[in-house]
Amino acid sequence: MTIRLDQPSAADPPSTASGADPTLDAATPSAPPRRRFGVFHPIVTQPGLAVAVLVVLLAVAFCVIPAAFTWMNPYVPDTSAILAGPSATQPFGTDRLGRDVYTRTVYGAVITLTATLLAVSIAFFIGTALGLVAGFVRGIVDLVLMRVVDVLLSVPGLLLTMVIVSALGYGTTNVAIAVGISSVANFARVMRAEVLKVTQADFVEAAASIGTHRVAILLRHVLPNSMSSVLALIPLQFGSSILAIAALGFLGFGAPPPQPEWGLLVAEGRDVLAIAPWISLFPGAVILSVVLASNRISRALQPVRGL
Amino acid sequence: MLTYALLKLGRALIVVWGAFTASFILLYLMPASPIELLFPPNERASIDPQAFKEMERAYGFDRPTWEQYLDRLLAGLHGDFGTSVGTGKPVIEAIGEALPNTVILAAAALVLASLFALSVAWVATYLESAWLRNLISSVPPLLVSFPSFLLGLIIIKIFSFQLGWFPPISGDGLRGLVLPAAALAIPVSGPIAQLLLRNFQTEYSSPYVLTSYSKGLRKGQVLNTEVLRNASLPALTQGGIIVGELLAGAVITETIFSRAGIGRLTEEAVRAQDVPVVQGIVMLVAVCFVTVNFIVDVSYPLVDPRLKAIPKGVTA
Repeated sequence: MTIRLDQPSAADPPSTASGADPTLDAATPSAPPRRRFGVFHPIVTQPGLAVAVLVVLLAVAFCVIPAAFTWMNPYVPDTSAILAGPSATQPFGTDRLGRDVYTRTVYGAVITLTATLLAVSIAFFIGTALGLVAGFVRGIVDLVLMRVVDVLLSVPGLLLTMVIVSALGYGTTNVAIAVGISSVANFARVMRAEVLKVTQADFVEAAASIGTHRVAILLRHVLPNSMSSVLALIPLQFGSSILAIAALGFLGFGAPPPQPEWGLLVAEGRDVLAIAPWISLFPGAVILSVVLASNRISRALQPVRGL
Repeated sequence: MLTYALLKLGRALIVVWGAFTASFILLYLMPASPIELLFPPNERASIDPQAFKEMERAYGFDRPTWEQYLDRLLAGLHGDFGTSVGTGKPVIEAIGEALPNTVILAAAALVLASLFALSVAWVATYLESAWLRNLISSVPPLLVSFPSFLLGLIIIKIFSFQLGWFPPISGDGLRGLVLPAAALAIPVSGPIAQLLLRNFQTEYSSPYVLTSYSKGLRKGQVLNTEVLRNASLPALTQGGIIVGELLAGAVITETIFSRAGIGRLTEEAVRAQDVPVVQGIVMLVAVCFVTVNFIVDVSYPLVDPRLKAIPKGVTA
């Protein structure tokens, strides 16, 4: 009952390994228990997850080869089609300069997702390094680093990002850096907890007792074994970073106006919301589906930590 | 209990001091020229070098960093974060004017969000049909993923432009409060609903529920009298984060609904790179976060007697 939400997906491979074999040995024919677990048909059993993976792949494809998805130009105005509603040729309609909103959304993926990638990488590398050092060195270093993490956590993400942006200045790169720094704490905390757990393990003690150098233990034994839960955090951070970057773009701190950044696209439709809602709603729906998809994937990757 | 409270208080003060130091480094040391930031953006190009030097001296930027830091820290302890670059008003005054509006908005949103999150968790546990239960359980993840600015726009589109029930620009009074409160409540309720849902399911599978059933209670009664209390108390531990979310969410909500408050003040201060105001807001948010967490930490053992024994054992 408790794990109903989270049980599918990540819990599946181990549960068959440990669950199916005993049932087999318990003198039941091989076929029924396997079908009951249904792990060999993840697409059939978890259509939601399959769709989520598809959505993310599509968004990445937008980002890598935008020209393959549209033949129009995201910047050139077209006075013959101003504020035209969604149609077969222009599925998302056009904006007040006659630019195709779908084309702009596709090209916007390049800006928003690249910024997201930068943000997540910054958070991942700095956060993981801090957590690793704090958890492994312990003592005063741990104490200081964890208080820094406390401070970072005491100001909610969006506000912290805005503060950093007001120090660094506007622009997509600065926004990405700001979003990255403000999510460092999440990675640092998870990594530290994991490192603390792994350092207790017997193989670390064994490595230490045969005289392995501390740095070698850290890099060869502790690091690889504590990566899994930090890696599982990446899709979740990816989703929330898209939201943060789009929110800052919406407020006007990100990419400057002619660029089709996703948050900016939503903001552009704001004052014509009453007569041309598609300008805001379609790019907004794209943001929503990508974030939803990456959160779904992250839920599949971490069965215990759901929030 | 007292040592426990003092320990928590010490940590809270360290976090506040850390937030001040971090914002000082970020806002006063990082920019190439903090003086330039003290001028409104349109006047920056035409700063007279002589005036620049004088400003530098007047603000004390020619002194060593640690001296500036100590000065600002001392002033900050008295609630003085300087004056706003844009309006010339003392920061504390600007925040004081904006705060009541945001408190009303946040309080209304908090009530809505808690009620909504509770009902989602309650209904998702109460329903017998697995299909419906799954459907309701998928609501919180959806809320978490929903861009708050998009939500605000959709709410305006439907309730102001299509139905005409409420004004799109939030004025004073209750009618102007409904839409922004709802727009702020929905994203905030996502994480709360996720937490409550998990707690409800954990608690519902506990043995005491079976006992209650065997005493002849119905599912609704069991949920209301036993599960509800046990499952919702842990949500208190998220208090600080929720308050932070409300304040951060207010930036988007107040901007969309053109409502005066801390959120708008933040947005305008960041836009104008109004460093003193930004620092004042950071300190406000950090103090709120830390205060709520401290209250929760200290009062939680009183609310939940099961925990009374633990902190004593740990800290003594």
